[in-house]
Amino acid sequence: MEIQLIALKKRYAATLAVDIPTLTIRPGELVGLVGHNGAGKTTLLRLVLDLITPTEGQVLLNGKNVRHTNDWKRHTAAYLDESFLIPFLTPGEYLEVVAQIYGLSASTYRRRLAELAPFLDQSLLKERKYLRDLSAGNRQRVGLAATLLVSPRLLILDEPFEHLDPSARKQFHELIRTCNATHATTVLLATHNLSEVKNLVQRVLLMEAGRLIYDQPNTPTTWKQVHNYFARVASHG
Amino acid sequence: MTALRRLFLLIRLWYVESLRHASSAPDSPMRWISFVGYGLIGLLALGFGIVTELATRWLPPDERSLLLHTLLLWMILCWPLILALWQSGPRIRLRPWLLWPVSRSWLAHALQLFSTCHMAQSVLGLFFLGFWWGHIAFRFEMLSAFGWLLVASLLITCAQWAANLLRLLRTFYPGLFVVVWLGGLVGIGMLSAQGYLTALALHTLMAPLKGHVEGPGILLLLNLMLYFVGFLLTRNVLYVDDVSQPSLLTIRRTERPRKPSMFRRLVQLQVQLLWRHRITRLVFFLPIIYGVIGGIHMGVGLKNNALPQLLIGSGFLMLASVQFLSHMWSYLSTFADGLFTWPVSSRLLGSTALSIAATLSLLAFLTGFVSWMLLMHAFGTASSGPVVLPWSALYLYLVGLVHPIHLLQTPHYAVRLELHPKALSRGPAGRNSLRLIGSILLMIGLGALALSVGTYGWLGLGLTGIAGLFLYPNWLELLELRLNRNKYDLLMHLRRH
Repeated sequence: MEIQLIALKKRYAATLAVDIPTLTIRPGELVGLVGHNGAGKTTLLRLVLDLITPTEGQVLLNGKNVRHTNDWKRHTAAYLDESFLIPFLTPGEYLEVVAQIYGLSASTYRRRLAELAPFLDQSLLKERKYLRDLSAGNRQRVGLAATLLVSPRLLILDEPFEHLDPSARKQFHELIRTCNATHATTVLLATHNLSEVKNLVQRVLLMEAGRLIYDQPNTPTTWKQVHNYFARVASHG
Repeated sequence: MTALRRLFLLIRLWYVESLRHASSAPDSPMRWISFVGYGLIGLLALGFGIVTELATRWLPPDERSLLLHTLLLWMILCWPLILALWQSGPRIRLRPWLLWPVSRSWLAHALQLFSTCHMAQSVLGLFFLGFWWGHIAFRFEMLSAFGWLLVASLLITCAQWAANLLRLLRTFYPGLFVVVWLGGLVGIGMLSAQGYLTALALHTLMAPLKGHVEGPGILLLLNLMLYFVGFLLTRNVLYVDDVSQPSLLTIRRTERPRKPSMFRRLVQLQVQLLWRHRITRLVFFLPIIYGVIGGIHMGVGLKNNALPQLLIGSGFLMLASVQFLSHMWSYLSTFADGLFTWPVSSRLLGSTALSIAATLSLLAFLTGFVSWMLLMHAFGTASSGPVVLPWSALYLYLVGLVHPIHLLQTPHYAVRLELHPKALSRGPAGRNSLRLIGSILLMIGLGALALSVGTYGWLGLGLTGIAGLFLYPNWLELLELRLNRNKYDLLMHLRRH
């Protein structure tokens, strides 16, 4: 799915949280969005997902404004934070609800669960605890697994590796790559942890104070420049 | 998956959440305890509706019916005002749904419809059903009796849509909500006083019993209008906007942990801080001093109906707590740091400030009242009990309206004082101080004027105070908003320096 941002601005009182004149992310691209805390990454993801209204401009998914249509939602999956889980369901119940909402048949649901097996093991699925009572890492696993369950054409993730242990991170890397390769899924992934996305993404976007200041394909030079940027900002305090 | 199936799924989830709300595990016994509790409340409401008539047995049947229907209508009119304050709305978290392939319109419809399933609404419905069973069902023809039930249902749903609209106002325009809420209360009072409420009862609830059929049609139209305005507004606010509107998604107040121990410790800390501060220790004695001076003046003013003395008296009686409120934030400079570092919500800070000021004002009032009684006794002119009422009305006015309005201005005042102590007399801080003094004088003037009018005056004062007390949750919400704004100012200042 193609993402196009046109003269997009989001303002909170006197603060300009997002200000992007133009940006196109091609179908099947795996893009990493990096930047400091408060750079506007999450706000941008929320604008793309029509979770907040832009002050100016528009977001087009496959040429259609996200504010005026609902079709894109059927092919989009996202996990931004824990508040997007349903805390009073068990992991199994939650995944079932997601499958029902996206209209997956029982057999497809079972097959896709099996595909997620290394990342989402059976003991977690059989857990009788509610999501609200699970550890942060397990909640994250369930939320991320739910996004891949529906085989989306657009996958949007915010800090997906935050609470995951090293093995789960590795497994999730693989799952994202497979999803991207199999379904030509466009992936937009925001993080401030550079090492996590270094070997994963094809293109790097760097945000600062709501603006995109860097947009390059993933090459060793790219990461050198991005690292230099973070080092420079850190030294200026 | 069709839209209808998604709606059913939403209903199922809502049901599951309401079952699991109180339980910590899927098989917790808490759910059964909740079931029994809710059942008992429902039965009580039904029973109360059936026996309502007993309370008015002494009236002739026609008069009794009119009185009871007027009361029912009054209840329905007040219902949205009460619901808007306490009803938390449907317990369904919509945040995940916004990421899923579901249209906002369906979610808005679901929210509107779920709001009718709230327990308060069920209690009202059962009460009306009980009334119908005990008073209408067996005395009128079937058609009239069912017509009454239809009108009552339409009135109840109207009240629900109006409550939803009020809740939206409370979330997005808290200031306007306070105005509309007070306006609604005054409107109902005026309708009641002019006798229009009885006429309205005759044209709505009693109309089917008298063979008139136009009522349900008008009510249905009103229902549709209120529902669709609420629906459109709800649909337009179904966005995640965590900076300016943190709790919009379920149109319900954010649930905050209420821990008595936290409140107690905060009060204790404030008292300790004040006590250990040399100058502010005087604050504890001021209410007594002001109480003595104010009490004598107000007593004499009430006796002779003299406005100047009433003004001085009420001024002194208010000063104790008003002064405490206005200086508290600045005295406790740690508060400014505390706003950032303590694990205490702004709301809790606000409630603590209000409680302490209310306690101090009570101290001033008791001292004032005792001083006046002693003085009258010394001169041998001790008067009878009813004079207690104007005193109570003034106290209610102070605690219900003056304190919250005043408290709303203090965060800005205190933060400015903290940031620019030398610039208090000029610039924005200076203007703010003037506004603060102006509002105190205005409030004192209004109180004294109302007392000098006589019975109606202090009755109005007391009623205004009670209305203000009812609005406490909303005053605190406004205060929270203001505190957050001022915290941002302070943060910017700290970053710059």
